[in-house]
Amino acid sequence: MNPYVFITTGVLFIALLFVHCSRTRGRRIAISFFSAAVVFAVARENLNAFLPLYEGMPQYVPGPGVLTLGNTPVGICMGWIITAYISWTLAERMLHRVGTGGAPDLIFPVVMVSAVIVSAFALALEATGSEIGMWIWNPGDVPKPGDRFYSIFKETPLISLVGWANVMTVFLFGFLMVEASPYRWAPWRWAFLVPPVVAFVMFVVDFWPTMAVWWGLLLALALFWPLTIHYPGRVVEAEGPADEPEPAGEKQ
Amino acid sequence: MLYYPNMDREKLTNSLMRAAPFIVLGLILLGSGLIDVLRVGRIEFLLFKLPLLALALMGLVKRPLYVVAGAAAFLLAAYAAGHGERILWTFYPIWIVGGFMLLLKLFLALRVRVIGR
Repeated sequence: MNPYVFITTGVLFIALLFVHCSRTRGRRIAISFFSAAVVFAVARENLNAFLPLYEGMPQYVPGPGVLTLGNTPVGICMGWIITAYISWTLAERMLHRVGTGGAPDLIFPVVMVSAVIVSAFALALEATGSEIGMWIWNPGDVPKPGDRFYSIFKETPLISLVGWANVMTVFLFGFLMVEASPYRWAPWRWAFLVPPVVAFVMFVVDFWPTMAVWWGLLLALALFWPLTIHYPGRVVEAEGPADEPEPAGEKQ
Repeated sequence: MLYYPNMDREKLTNSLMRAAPFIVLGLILLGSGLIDVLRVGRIEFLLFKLPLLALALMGLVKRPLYVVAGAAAFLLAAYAAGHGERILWTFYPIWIVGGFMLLLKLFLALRVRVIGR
């Protein structure tokens, strides 16, 4: 398929989602989310090429004729940004509607639900992407039943579904804690990037145990730490104009 | 240009903008579904899109847990038809999200009861 069709569509989608984010969460959040997502998507996907692999771990290569950025197809980076934003929004709306009395604005439930939605995106699109040659999984080495990473989901390796969810938790945890948590004005807020970065690096050492610890931690935080999301530029009609300046060092 | 006297252009634009993530999600599902059927020729891939469709529905309907209940009913029907195990594994995002929501609801209710709002 013509790669420019995907690229053009992706750019249009990202522009539309940027406007949506800007209107509903404020310009500052929109700019920081999409710029962070671009950097993260490109860096993370390219990092994949240099990671030491476990024995039998599936790996993909870009399909022939696909536009690439470093070692990764541009379409994957764009797709990840679109997926991340839609999942975040969908998770918030879903939690709003489930009637959990305050849960919609809590950081960790949103992180967890959006990660599962990202995994559902991967499930929906991976097999199609493989078939049309956007990427090729395991060139020359397809996992068989009984192998550690064998998947029942046709062309989609299990690690891809789990990996996408993990990547979303790493990204959204860091982003929301630094940009939209009650501690966003604290000078030490960047320390919130340490746990997801450590978790991300540890995935390389051993995937499943690290993942169990990381998701266990997230579940505990979701249930026991009701940390509220604050969007500084959120357009809330009842509360007056958006983008109200907040004093430096303010802690809510 | 057509003129509709009762059309509030700003309201329409705002509604469309609010729905933007769902429009994009719908277009992605539709586009990839069409590719599956028309180009790849593998209709069974449409099954992998159902969990995402159900999750999108959970963001739209008033009571998302009803969608989980609907998926569970579909699973039972699939078991009756002999394809239950496949549906069970393919619908894993629905079970995870539904289970997590129930757990969260329970914990928040307990917290409100024990600590108060």
